[in-house]
Amino acid sequence: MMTELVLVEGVSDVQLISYYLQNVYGWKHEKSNILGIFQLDEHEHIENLSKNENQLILCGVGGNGKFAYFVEQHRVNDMIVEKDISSLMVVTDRDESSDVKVTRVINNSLEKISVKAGQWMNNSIEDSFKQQKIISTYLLIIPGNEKGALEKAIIDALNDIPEETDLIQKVVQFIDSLKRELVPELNQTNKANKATVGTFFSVRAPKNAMRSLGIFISKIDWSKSESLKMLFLPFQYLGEGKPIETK
Amino acid sequence: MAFIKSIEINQFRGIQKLTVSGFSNINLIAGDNNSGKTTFLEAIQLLFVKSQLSSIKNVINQRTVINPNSSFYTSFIKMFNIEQNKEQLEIDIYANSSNGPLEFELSGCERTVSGEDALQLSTLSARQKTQYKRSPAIIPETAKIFTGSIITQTEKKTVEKEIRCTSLDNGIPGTIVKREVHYIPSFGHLRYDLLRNIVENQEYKKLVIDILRQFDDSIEDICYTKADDGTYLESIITKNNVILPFSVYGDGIKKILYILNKLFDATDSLLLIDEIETGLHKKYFDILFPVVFALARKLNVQVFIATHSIEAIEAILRYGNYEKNDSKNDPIKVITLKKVEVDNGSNIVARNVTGKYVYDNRKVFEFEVRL
Repeated sequence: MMTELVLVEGVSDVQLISYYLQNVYGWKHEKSNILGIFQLDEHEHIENLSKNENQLILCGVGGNGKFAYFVEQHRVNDMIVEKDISSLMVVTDRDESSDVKVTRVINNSLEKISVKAGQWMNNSIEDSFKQQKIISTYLLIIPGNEKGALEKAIIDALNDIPEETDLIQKVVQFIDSLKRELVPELNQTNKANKATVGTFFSVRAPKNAMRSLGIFISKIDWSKSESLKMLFLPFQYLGEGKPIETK
Repeated sequence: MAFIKSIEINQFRGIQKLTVSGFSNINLIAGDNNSGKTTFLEAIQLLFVKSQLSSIKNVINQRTVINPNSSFYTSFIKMFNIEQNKEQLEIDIYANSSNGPLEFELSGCERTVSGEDALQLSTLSARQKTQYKRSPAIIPETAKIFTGSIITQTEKKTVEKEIRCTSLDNGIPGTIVKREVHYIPSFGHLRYDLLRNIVENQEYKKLVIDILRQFDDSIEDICYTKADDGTYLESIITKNNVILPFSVYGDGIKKILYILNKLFDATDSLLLIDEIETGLHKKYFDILFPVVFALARKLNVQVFIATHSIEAIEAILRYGNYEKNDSKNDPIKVITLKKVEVDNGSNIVARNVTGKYVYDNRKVFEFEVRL
């Protein structure tokens, strides 16, 4: 039995990743989790999934920059030592940062283990009974090789889903047309991407225009996106043996 | 007072090797059934025994409180870890205390001899041996004999003595030794002898009655009363002046009195309480435990409490008042024992953390202290 802990940024990340894990990798929703971890405030979002005898706890830490706070409040470092956790996966937005900087920020919060961007690694640690154990880690930075955040990955994914391509391209052009005079703020890539995703879903399902992203997520067949498939490839190893790189 | 700072237990019962350090005034020993909690408490007691078999018997017979006539030899030989070399059996327990090192070493070997030889070598009295010889049919064809030595080291001196016992020895003669460590077995309160220290000390008696009234407000006094046959009974006098022997009361009252009586006995020494929850309803934990811990502090008693009751653990942690207190000078240590498989069988390992560490973790995830 494996227990996988996945820390992501916000509610949107939890909803998209949870959808993907359920619809592509066969995980099922569960009411509770084996770690006994629960939401401490309204900004956090925790979903519990299971597959066979394995459990996956998907935690939205409360938004950008809240990773360290979540780790401290939930005593994740103690949890890693005390509980039988098979792996810790961290999914975070790249924004304007390099792999090195993102990795450093995450590792600064972790005490006995560390993560590497785009690579499963084994951490050998001692539990408080002084028994050796292995915990695998992975850092997934979104998007993979360019600046931006989850919204960029969503736009790319919509672009390669045939049913959504026309609409997303038109929305991108529309947002682009606003940048020069009407809304100069949209010149900031992250904000333009957020506006694109928000506009796309509002147009795609107008009756849900004022609802949360979670409502829209379930209306798209994300399994058809090749870019998302590549980006989320590390998720296939959750609940299974990890491809650890040996030096 | 020999405040225990650390302990190392080797080849004792299910423990191959176990080291625990950093004890506090209140030490909670938690763990699953068969994780070694009682063994751990026995190991501490063995550090204070004298170099004689009767002293060891005192410790190991506590397990057989319900059946005190069970074979001493069987209990004795089961003290040794079964994974070790049968040719040379050895138990070594070492502790650092505030008064210096404490050590208990028992070593020797077991062999099979004829029943006749065992009878001659046994510690049975001449009369018992004669009784055996009158009924030769009950002398077994073969018997076991253990020969070896006990070495004890207290803060004062080291003593070594040769010992011998056989499987025909049901009882080991010897004087009852004065103990520097006091043990409360889980069902010890059923033995009575609950009032000795309490009735002799008016101040302490008043305190105890105040505590008992929180359980039963009809209690006016506790004392010895003379029964019709001339024997003395431990009794409670109610507000209506009715004298009731303890036998009519439930286990809870007896357990509380037993703990408070032993606590007084343990002044300036160690008190070991096995399964503190036995006989007590959980709703009384918050009344009893703060009193026990406050008294232990006043009487200079280091306390080791074994339990697998989560309600008892939580009540003990509440005594730490961790919402208001920081982790400095934490009075509580939580030692969780766990059985693990190792290359040559099994062993017991320990986690020793502060009460605050347990309390803080239990607030945000399922931090299990019992495992």
